[in-house]
Amino acid sequence: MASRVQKKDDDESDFLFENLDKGQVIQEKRAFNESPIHPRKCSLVISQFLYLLSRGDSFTKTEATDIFFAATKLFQSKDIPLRRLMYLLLKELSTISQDAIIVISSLTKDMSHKIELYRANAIRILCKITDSSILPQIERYFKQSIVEKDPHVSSAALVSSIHLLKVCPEIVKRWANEVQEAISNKSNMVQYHALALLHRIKQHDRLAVSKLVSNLIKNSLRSPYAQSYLIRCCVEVIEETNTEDRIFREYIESCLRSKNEMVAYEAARSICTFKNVSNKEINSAVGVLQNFLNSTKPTLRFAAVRTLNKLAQTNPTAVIPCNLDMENLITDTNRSIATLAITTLLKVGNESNVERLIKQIANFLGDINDEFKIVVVDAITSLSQKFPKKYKHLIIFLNKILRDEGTLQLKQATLDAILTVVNNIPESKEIALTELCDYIEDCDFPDLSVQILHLIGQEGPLTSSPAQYMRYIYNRVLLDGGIIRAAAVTSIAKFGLLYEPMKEKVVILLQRCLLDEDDEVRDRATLYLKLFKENDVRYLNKVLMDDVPVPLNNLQKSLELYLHQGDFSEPFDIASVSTVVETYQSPLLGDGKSPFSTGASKKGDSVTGTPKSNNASNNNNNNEESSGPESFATKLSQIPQFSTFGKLLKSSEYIELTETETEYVVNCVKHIYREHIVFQFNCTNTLNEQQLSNVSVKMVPSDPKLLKYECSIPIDVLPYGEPQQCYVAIRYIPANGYPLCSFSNALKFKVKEVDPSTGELDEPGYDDQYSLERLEIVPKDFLNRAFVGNFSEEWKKMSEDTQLVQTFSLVGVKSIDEAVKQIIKTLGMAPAEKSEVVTPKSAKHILYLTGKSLNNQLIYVRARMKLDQSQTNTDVELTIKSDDESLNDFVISAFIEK
Amino acid sequence: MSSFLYTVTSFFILDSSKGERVIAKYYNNDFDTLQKQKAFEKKVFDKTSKVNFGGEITLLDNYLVVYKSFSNIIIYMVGDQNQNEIALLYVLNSFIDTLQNLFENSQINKKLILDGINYTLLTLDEIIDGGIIMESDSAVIADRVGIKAPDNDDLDESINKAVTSVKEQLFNFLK
Repeated sequence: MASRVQKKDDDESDFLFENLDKGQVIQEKRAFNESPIHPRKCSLVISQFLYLLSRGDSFTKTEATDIFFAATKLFQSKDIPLRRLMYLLLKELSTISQDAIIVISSLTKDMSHKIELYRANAIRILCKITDSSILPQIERYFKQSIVEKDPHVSSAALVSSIHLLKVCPEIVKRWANEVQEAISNKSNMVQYHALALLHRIKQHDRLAVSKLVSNLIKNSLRSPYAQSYLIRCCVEVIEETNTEDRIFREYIESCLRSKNEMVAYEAARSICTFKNVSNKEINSAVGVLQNFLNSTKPTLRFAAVRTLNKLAQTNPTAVIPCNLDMENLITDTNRSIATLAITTLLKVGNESNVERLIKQIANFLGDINDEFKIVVVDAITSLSQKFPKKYKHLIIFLNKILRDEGTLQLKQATLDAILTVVNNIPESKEIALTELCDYIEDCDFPDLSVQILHLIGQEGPLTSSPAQYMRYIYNRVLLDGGIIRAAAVTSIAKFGLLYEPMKEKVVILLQRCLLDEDDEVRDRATLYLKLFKENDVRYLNKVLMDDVPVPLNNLQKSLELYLHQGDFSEPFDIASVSTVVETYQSPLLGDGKSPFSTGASKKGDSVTGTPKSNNASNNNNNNEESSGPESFATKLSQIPQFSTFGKLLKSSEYIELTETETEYVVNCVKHIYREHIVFQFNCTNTLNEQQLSNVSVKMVPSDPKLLKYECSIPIDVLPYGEPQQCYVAIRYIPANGYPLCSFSNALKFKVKEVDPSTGELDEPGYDDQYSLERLEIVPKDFLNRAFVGNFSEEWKKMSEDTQLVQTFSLVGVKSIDEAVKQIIKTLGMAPAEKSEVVTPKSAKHILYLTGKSLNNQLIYVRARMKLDQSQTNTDVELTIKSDDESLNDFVISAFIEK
Repeated sequence: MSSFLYTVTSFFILDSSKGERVIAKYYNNDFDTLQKQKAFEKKVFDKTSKVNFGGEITLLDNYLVVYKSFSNIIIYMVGDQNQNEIALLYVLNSFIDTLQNLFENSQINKKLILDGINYTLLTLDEIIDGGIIMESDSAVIADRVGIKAPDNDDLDESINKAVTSVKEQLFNFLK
């Protein structure tokens, strides 16, 4: 048949249609008007239109209407292939063209035609152009077609009715009897379509659905599609009604034995989602999936391993019988299958087989690309949390990847992974350092060398034999480029500081660097040497060991601002730099969730389907925040009403006062001054048909005695989509204590409707208000972060006489990690000595925090915590030291009522 | 209940050298502009066309993608991520089997798909209606595409004419 088509067109071009021009084809619709009709010519023109549509060309309403009307001429033709094409063209154009209902009479005429193909296709177009006013007139054609014996017509009518159910549900529901009759049609597809329609008609009546489903179970449907559909119905009935009736579960179980793969699979995956499943059920379901794992068809393997991957989250033991089969899939040519297999295996892995698994994965590393290796690295890293004892194998495995050929991206991911392991498992330190030392001897990426040198300097001196690392570090000074040499010099100095016995050797090595050709290297060496000679340990510590305690971006902005202001009477204070971005988790530590649980989803193979928009909006917030606080001071000082308030002491983080997807989105920043608080409300109007004016926030305090209203600055005009700020200022008397209270808030404004198309305002508008979430003033608003070189020394120096000790319980906090985060968040102080890092699964922990009051009194906090016996709460003993007892009381008040 | 009924969310055929669209059909409004559609197609192509990726199925942005490569095109069937993978594969197979049936087992390639665009699009239309599977049996589908209808009228007429003239001549001769 194809040859027949080709014969005509071969002489034109290789691909007849590829360069088809829309305008030209539209001209050719003339052919439809010719008499007599030339079927071949017309077919060709229709094919061209259909091709343009499927290629993505758009037709204007007028064009579509013209073609549609021209094509209706073809109802006169008796040529069946032409008619078939005409129906498709009319169907495709019916949604674009105007007045498509004009063809209803021609179509209804076709409905009584003897040729089934006409009836089937006519009804498919009818359902597209009809609405609730027309449908009653042509209802009988639908009813009569539904019960037709011919499967083509019946299926077409049923599927069309399913579509119509969305347009005029009431009318379609009247056809239930006919649909019921169609279920016994001999055709498999008709049976399926009838079942789907009937189920949808009854969807809102639980009892009716449950009755329908149990009837059909007994009826033993033949169609695989109908069986699959019925399985989903059974799941729905079981979930919604919690029925005790076994027949639904038994039906699903019986479908496991179906010869049709689709049905057996549908049954198996349904059973895997059951909440209370018996061992027998789950075992037979997993058995089916296990067979699929060994199928030659990739789709079957994929389906099975994807389902097992999900099951492994809720019921890992059930998956274990498939472990061997999944291990074979690690090398599957389909990467999606291999990824799922690996992540599943790691989920169900146990102490005894994890070693073998790592070896297995190592064996096929050569065959896979870098992108996929990163997936593997992530998955492997997560194992370090689950099986800390296996660190040796993990480190060796990761090192192998580090040394093999690969992109910087892969190497960085791998190095990060090693750091994560070292951070989580202190025992792994030595072997990791040894391996990394070897690696930098032969490392092509200066970035990585620098990071590794930093790590060796940090951790090397604390190991059992620090001396062994020195050779590797000094080799870098001899052999590598400037940036690496500089890092190496710093690393050497750290050994001198942290490991007393090597101090003299370090000094000698540093002296050798004084003549280095690179400025940075010489400068560093000179500085360290001087400090070593003066034995200024405190300063050495500061220079060598302290990380910059604030995000570098913020530091840069603060410094720029400081220089810009030109007032150098006070030295620059690093504590004034905002730390807001720090809410962002350090990538090295991961976020409690670990790559493990999200394993496959990370690289786009989203199995769990985490909503991405959510993440995106968080990122936005963070960006905003990092750019925000630094400019607050300048911005606020420009507002005359606030100019007398003095220096801005602290700005809070953003607090959302609405959901982020409401009509009006409002968040608030609290700005603290010595005697005033300014509430800055960032308001966004998300309704394009409204313009707001005179927008302000009305705040009602829970304890009016604590403060005095100062002033309010409204927003004059708040158009759609442009965020603006309004302010409320209050005054308090510091001597009487800080005004810890809460406010109920409402957004007040005048609404004017806007015509979105013309932008015209509907005067005069009306007043309205919108209630917001409550807002609190908490102790943390008056506390800043502070940084000290050596916490334990400072802690010892502070007297114990004035310290305050309080014990309490964090109710519902089930892990130490969570408790640490909550305490840091509540106090808004800076963690010291890396005590915010919690060993996974530990049951107790000590957290050190430093902070200062607004008048720069230092505060030290030690929090000892442990999980209580029920493992559902965390007991905390908080010790607070400062020079001011009332300040201690103030700090502890942050936990009252918690 | 996640829907089994709306099995296919989109279908497309891409050129396997550059990933350009040959034809496409979308059954819901997930990608409501041509731009979004083409961006999605590019993403799918980038993931599936890699030589060492392996074949037939993957998951991308919450969509299940089942596909089959031919000499210069790849045919894709896309469904919701909760869809039954095998159901989606069956639809793809029905489509390919039907084309093979219609084109009398010629090698499927871009030329064949485009030169026989009427068969390609009619086949698709008979298999999927608004995302719902209409029919899965390739013999039945081929039949419905209209191929077995009485032969073309031009041809018929000429044969009829020929027969009539023979009859007439015979008649005349007999007279």
